Amino acid sequence: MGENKDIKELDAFTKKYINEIEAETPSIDFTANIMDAILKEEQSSIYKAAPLISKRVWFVLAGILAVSILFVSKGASSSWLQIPEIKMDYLSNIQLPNLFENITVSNLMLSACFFFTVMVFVQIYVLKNYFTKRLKM
Amino acid sequence: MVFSLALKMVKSREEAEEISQDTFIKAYKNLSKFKGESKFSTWLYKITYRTCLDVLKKTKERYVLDVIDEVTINRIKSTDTILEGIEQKERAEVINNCLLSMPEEERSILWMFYFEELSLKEIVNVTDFSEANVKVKLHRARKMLLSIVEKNVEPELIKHYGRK
Repeated sequence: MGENKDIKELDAFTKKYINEIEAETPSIDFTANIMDAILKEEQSSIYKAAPLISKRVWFVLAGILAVSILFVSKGASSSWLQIPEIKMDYLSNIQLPNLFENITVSNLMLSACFFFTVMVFVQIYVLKNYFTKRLKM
Repeated sequence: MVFSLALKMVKSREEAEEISQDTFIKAYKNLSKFKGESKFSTWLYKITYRTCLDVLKKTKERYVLDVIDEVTINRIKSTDTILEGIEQKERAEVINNCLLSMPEEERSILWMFYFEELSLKEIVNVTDFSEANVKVKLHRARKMLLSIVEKNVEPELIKHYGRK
């Protein structure tokens, strides 16, 4: 009992004096600063890049592809789905004149073309990064 | 109130302002995660508390706990009488300084319970301690505050008598 009374007394004591402490307020521009920060957050989220094809759509597409592969591989043997055979023989009968017969390309030319193509792809990558960085600012 | 809790936990005004700002931004971003299971204010306190703990972890302030003697009504009464003799503004400052010299866990629980008037359940929610643990800490905090106030007020009393 005595201990309980002590606790109660101590509780009253603490309550009395802690409540006398004045609540401190932050500086005047505190709210304005928060609103600024939130606005900045908002703006950056507007420019956030969203993928053109979302993950969900990718999954659906993958599902359709898997099902159709299964369907074709299994269905081909079943009797109700017979893919008609297309005769491709006539392709070999067509004779095109070979236009490039007299043109010879040097190895140097080939490697130049190869490097040119590689550099185009590198440039695409670099430019893409550059613009995403600029838009983020 | 977010600011005052942060201030009581980290002690520096600049840091407390930064923490409060972070708290509001975090709350704004995670508004969709608030499910209404607790009061909105409790949720906000929880974010504040966590942010403060993160900041405090970096500074790694460690306290050496004083041995707390048993509390008796006589001790409470005599400290109360001495405090009554001090002017209110000065008294509030003394108590505030004593509070700030307590370890941050006890200090924040005391502050939430008495000043912000959070219930035990709400404090459990904010701090993630068990209810029994909060009760123990709260009791220890009260005793600690009394001991610190006693120590701080004694010289004050001698000064008072000395002037006379």
